[in-house]
Amino acid sequence: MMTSGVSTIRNCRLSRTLVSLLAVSVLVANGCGDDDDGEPRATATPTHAIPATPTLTSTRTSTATPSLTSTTTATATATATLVSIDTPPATASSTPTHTPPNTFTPTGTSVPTPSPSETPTASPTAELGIFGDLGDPLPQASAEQLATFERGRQIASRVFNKEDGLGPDFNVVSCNACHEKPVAGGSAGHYRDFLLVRAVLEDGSSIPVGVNGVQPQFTLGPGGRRPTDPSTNLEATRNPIPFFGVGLLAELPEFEILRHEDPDDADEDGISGRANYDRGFVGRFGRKAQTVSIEGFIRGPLFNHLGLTTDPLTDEMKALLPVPSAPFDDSANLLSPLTEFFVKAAYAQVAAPEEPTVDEDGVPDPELSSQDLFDLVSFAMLLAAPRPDPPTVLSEAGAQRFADLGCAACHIPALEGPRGPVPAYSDLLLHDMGEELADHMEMGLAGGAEFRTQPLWGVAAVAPYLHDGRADTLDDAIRLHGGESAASRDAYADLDQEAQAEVIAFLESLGGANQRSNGLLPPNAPIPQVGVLAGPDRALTAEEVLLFDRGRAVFDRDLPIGGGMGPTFNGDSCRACHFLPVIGGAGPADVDVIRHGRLDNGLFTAPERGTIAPRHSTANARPSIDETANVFETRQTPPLFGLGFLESIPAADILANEDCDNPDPEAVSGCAHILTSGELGRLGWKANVPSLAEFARDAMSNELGITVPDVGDLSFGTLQDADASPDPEITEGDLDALVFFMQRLAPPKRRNQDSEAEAAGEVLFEAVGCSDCHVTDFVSPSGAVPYTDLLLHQVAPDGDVGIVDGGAALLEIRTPPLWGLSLTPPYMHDGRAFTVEEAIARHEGEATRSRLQFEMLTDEDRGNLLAFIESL
Amino acid sequence: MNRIRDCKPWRWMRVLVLGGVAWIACLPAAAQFCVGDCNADRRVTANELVSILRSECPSLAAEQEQTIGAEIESAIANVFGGCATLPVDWEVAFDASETGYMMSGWGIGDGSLWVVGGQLLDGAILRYELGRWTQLELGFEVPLLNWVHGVSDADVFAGGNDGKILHFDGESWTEQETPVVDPVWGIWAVAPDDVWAVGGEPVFGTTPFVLHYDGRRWSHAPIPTIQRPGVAAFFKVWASGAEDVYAVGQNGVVLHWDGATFTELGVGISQDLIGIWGTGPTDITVVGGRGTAEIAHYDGTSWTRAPASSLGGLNGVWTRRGDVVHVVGVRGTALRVDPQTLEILGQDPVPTTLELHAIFGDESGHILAFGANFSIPEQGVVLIRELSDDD
Repeated sequence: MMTSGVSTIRNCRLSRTLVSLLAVSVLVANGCGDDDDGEPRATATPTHAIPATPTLTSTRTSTATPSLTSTTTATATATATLVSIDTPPATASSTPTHTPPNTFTPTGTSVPTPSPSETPTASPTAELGIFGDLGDPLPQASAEQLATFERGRQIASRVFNKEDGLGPDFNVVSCNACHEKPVAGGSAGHYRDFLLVRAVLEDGSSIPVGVNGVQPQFTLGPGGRRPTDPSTNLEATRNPIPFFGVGLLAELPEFEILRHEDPDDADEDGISGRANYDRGFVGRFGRKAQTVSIEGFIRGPLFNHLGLTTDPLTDEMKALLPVPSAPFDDSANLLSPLTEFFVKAAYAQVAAPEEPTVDEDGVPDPELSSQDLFDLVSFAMLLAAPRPDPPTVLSEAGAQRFADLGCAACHIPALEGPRGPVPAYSDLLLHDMGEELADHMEMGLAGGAEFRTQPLWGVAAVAPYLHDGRADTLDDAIRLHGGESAASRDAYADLDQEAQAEVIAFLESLGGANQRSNGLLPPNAPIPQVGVLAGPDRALTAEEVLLFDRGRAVFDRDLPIGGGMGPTFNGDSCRACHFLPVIGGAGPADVDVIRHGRLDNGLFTAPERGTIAPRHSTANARPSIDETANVFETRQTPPLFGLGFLESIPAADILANEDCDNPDPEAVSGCAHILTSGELGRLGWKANVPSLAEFARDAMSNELGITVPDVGDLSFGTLQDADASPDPEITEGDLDALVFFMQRLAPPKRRNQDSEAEAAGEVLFEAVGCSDCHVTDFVSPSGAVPYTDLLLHQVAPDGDVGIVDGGAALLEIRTPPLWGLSLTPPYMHDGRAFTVEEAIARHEGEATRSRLQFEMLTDEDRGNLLAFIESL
Repeated sequence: MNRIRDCKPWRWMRVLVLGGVAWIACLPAAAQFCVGDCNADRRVTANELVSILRSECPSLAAEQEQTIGAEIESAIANVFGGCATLPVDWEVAFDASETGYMMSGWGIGDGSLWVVGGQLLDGAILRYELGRWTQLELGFEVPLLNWVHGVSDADVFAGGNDGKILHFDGESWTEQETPVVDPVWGIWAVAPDDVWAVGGEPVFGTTPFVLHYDGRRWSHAPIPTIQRPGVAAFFKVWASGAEDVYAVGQNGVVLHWDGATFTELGVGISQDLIGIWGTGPTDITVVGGRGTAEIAHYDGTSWTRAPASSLGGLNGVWTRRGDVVHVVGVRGTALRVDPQTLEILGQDPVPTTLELHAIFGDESGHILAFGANFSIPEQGVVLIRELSDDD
């Protein structure tokens, strides 16, 4: 046994060696996945024996080790903060709704809304004690479990940066990024779609590439864009999967799932169904039921999508999880083969991957502590089953039709769990969905056309649907079924519209309808007060309130593919990139825009289709880019607060600060970006947009793939695209409302937390030269100062590369406003500074002198200056 | 092991009657089962099944274990007539919970065996002789040792982490110089001057290696650029002779040496291949997989891959005849497989849930399986049972 004297060295080597030994290829895509304080596991002898009666209903309340101390710090997220915002509801929250609260309902999907006068009838399942609103904990959770649940929820919303272990490659910076809709633990819109990537070889083998078969969009390395592996020749889109009720699914005995198998269709009903397996256990999670354990289903994505390394939970921690997950005491029962049988019968969660995950990003592994992992897994396991609505005449008629159509052959109403019926409306088995849905991704036993029956509880609130999100609505989802379900699909299509509406009403009654949103704004979200973030900058008239609200709804809504989004896009809504800390805010590193181009001997050539390298496409593949590009650059999403004021500053006032011909490269100059139209550019990292109206058109076209109407003198945006939706794909009225909403977003108020330090810092801000570019000349009607001259400066180091944009040269960047800075990390145009101090340290060129003066300040003065900046 | 056949959808489910304990865990009350002769059509619900069992063996309670006697085992066997109870014939030969992982073993067939493994930073070599186990004092530091193979009791090689290869000359073990620092995962000695070793760093590395020992020194064997993506390590090497050598590894890679060059083969497997063994150039079995098991067989002409099954990943394979191969894998998996049909002939109950990494038949009439927890602190086990005529 080792001695403590060598433990530090040993631990480092052990982790790496162990992982090499185990080879991490067990971390398969979308789910399976794979420890903490760096200390070796404390024990080799689990302390719990096989319980005499293997009831799964018992709540483990052991107070044995480990101590479950709270370790998390809440980080503001869209989900948490958007709660204070509003959209007019289409229906009362207690009534299931078929029409989303805002516009953009795809054609052909309209269904009648059930009459509010319908009297709900008694729900046969409502008293099961397992239901809650989406995002609620299980009602049966103990007080200790509730505390763990809350800690886990905080971790799910935590934004990770490179110091925390994010990367080196990543798709997202938090768990909630993909599981936010309508609340933490849910799904996400298309802007969180991701790609599974494989190399299919001549011998038929299909090798996961990327990171364990997942294509990361970003890297912390140069350029910020993770390239596609050259060997990739098979891609498949995945839309994030909701977690509601997964603990109940994890508890199901294997034979409860297996008894519904009919792999050879012995009963000749046209429906087969077979289990997938993971490490010898019946799989139950993931689009292809490729993963058996929730721990694995969390550790895998943590590594594959965030680059966060973890150690497997120790046996002691597994013993404390809400769903029994601890292995048996092998030492006490070494000669009994019963262990394996019993584990398979009831404790499948024990099959979580046992390998640590490791990377080489300079942050010690594991990057997420075992305590945090424990809380996160517990959070998932404790998420309540979506509470079904009380049945109505309409939904009951729909339930009957659901059965008559044969839907229930796969979407079986309930499986028998240890707590009683688990009405997930899934058999958790694989079914052949035909070439219509085939993604050609083999996973375990699942073939390229086989998918797990997706649970339907809570389905009302988690659009889009199907594995790749191709279905905008439930109606679409049914019509896009294939294979074994073709007969049911066709039978549905043959129903009259009223009967179809009954089916939809039934599906929407399975939970979540009262939390459904067109974006992330919850139903009835009020408009914040004047002057606060996401609220208007002044009192609005009644008419303006309606316009502001409409504009906010347009800003928030997730656009469906059928609504014209694409063919390529970065976001499916404005909010998709602008949500930190609230709607209209900045974006984290995982929504950075990637720009690219070719640089030859200082001459920049923009790609024919523009410099944006979009992340997503509706074509089930990563969008192509200019293959000759040799320059990539990420662009952080800046907040929109106060842009209406910036737009209103007279051009002459901005031009008055210009000093474009200063020959001293280290002197502060400042150049206005005069656009080809003759207008003064003032918005965007390159000051390349003259107004919010143009900004809206530009973003709609280039970030969302939405064509815009031809309006007056406005010239930005795309009027036509190649998708099937008629152009323009947004109305002039919606655009006007959107622009009004953005124009009226109040600038951030300055905080005064330590007025003495901030006052001293403000003096230093002037003294070291920060205010040479971050000028104090402009003051909004509310008294807010943006601290920008809206001019272009060169603050990048010599030898750096960038993107030319019109008259803005390779390395020129517009002085970004500093108001609200502390609320909107990361910083700099490429989002690669995660703290204000790091951002200052990256100032070069014209800002070199100021940076050096900052660095020469005393610790106290530096602190005061930072306090001032962060108070803005 | 007795089995109950689930009438819908005609799937076998298991009731274990072993070690004096019967288990019927959490049967859904509504489930239907067929009892009696396997071909009978006597359908009963789970509750009825339990009633039958109780009438046959009154002390048996449903949905929990009961300690029962041999007569009750017999009664239950009568209920499930035609479905034999399998004996637990694997025994723990060596409890290595203090020693570390038990990675592999090899011997010349006289009943003695070399076994290697140990802790990640403290490798171990054990000697099994006349039923006694002895751990050698090497006199020098060596990390975990992964594989052992030799040509005689005076010419044995062991490969391990950090590029280590050790040699036993009949008197002592010494470290040999190698041109690599990444782990050596597999080693095969064709002759004292014709020894192969394979390895690589599967997570952080980029280039797998094949080494050859000519009796004087280890050097890199020339291998082609691997076309299969993501291959940074070979895990095992096996040879039927000097001109017929196979290496298997990450993402299903297979290399073949024909005496002159290595050629990359495609056998249609995407997951890692961990083990390879055969009886000759026309009877070779490879095993592997992580989430699910992979088995493939080469008959001299073509490779046949077993259809996907419910089994978890497999690590080790050994055979001495053409009609049965012995395979081990995750969580104490021990199988006998017909290499011609790739059908599972039997799945043996084993007294461990550790990962079984390797299996080796001793010509003296024993077969041994080597296992590890692949966690920290390092623990392992060696299992043993007698080889029967059917093995």
